[in-house]
Amino acid sequence: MSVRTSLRHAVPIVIGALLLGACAAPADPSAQFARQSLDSLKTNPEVAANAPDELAVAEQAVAAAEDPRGNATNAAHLGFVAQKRVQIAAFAAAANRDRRAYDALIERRDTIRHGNESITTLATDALGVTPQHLQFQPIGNTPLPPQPPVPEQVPQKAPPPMETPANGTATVPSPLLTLDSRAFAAGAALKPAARQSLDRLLPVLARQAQRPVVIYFGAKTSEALERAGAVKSYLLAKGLPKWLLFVAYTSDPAMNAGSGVAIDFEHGAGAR
Amino acid sequence: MKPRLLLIVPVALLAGCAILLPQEPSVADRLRAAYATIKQAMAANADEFAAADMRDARQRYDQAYALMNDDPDRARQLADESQVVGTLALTRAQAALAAQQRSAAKNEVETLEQLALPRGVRR
Repeated sequence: MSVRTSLRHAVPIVIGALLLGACAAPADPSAQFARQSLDSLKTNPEVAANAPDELAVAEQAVAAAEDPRGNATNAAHLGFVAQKRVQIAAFAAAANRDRRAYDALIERRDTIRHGNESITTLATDALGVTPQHLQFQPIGNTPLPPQPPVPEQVPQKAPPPMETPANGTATVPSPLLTLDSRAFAAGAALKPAARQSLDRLLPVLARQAQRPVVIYFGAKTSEALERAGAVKSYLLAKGLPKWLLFVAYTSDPAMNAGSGVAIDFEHGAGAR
Repeated sequence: MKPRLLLIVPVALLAGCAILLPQEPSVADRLRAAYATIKQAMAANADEFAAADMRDARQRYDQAYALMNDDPDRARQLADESQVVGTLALTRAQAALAAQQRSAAKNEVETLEQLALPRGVRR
C-alpha cells in the first residue's frame, strides 16, 4: 500500500473521530470539588443510610459534570448542579436522621404517657409542643399536592366600578382592586386617583409579601396590555419584587375589567 | 470496509441520535418546574431558614426568564440551576425544621421523665 493510499484511508477515519469527539469538553474544576465532597459524604454511613436516593442523584450529577458535553459554559453549569446536588444529599440525610430521632422520641413519650396520662398532659401543655406537626414535603421532581377543585361555573359579576376595595364581605369572587378605563389618561398613564388606589393596596400586598400578584387585563388590545404594564411599573417602583409580579390576560368574568386591569393575588379570587 | 463508510457511519449515528432521542423539556417547562420548586420552598419557610439560597434561586429564575427568547440554551441552564438551588433551600428548611422538632421532642421527653420519677427524686 502506497503512502498516498494510506492517507486516503486515514482522512475519513480522522474526520469521523473528530465528529464523534466534537461534543466533548473539559470538565469544570467545580466537578472535581463536587467529586471530593461526594466521596467524603459517601464515607459517612449515616448519610448513606438516611439519604440513599439523594446520594444516587448526586452521583449521577457528578458523573455528568465529570464528562460534560458542549462548551465550557455547559461544563460550569453541570459542575454547579453537581455541587448543589451533593449539598442536597447532605441536608436530606440530616433531615431524615432528625426525623428518625424524633419518631423514637415520640415513641418514648407515648410509653411514658401510657403510664400516667395526666403527667404527660401537664408536660405537653407546659412546653407548648404539638408533636404530630412534623410533616415532610417531597423533594425534587415529585409531583405537587393536588390543587383544590375549581368550580365549573364562575358566578357572573356586574360591570366593575372604577375601584373595588378589598373589604372581605363580598360573596362573589372579586379582585383586590379593579381599575377601569377611566383610571388611565392618554398613553396608559395612571391618573392620580388610580395611583392613590394602588397606594392604598400596597399594605394589603405587603401583609402577604410572599404571594405572587397578578395584574389581569381582559381585552386583547395593545392599550389594555400597556395599561397593565403601567400598573406593573408603578408597583415595581413601589418596591414589589419583580419575580412576584405578573401580567396576564384573563377571560374570567370575575377578573375582567374591560379595557382596564384587575389586580389580585395568584389564584386569589375571593381567597384572602 | 470502504473508507467512505467510515465517514458515513458516524454521521448517520449522530443524525439518528438527533432524531430518535426523546425531546428535552422546553425552557418554559423548566421555568415552570423552577417556579413550583421555589413556591414549595417558600411554603416550607425557606426564606427564613435558607435566605441566601432563596435569593439565588430567584435571581437565576429572573435571569432565565429574561433570556428565554434571546439565548434559550443559557436560559435552560439557568432555569435548571434555579430549580436545583430551590430544592437545596427546601431541603435546608426541612432539615432545620426537623432539628427544631427533634429538640422540642427531646425536651418534652426529658421533662416527662423527670415528672415521672418518684416524688422527691430529681435528676
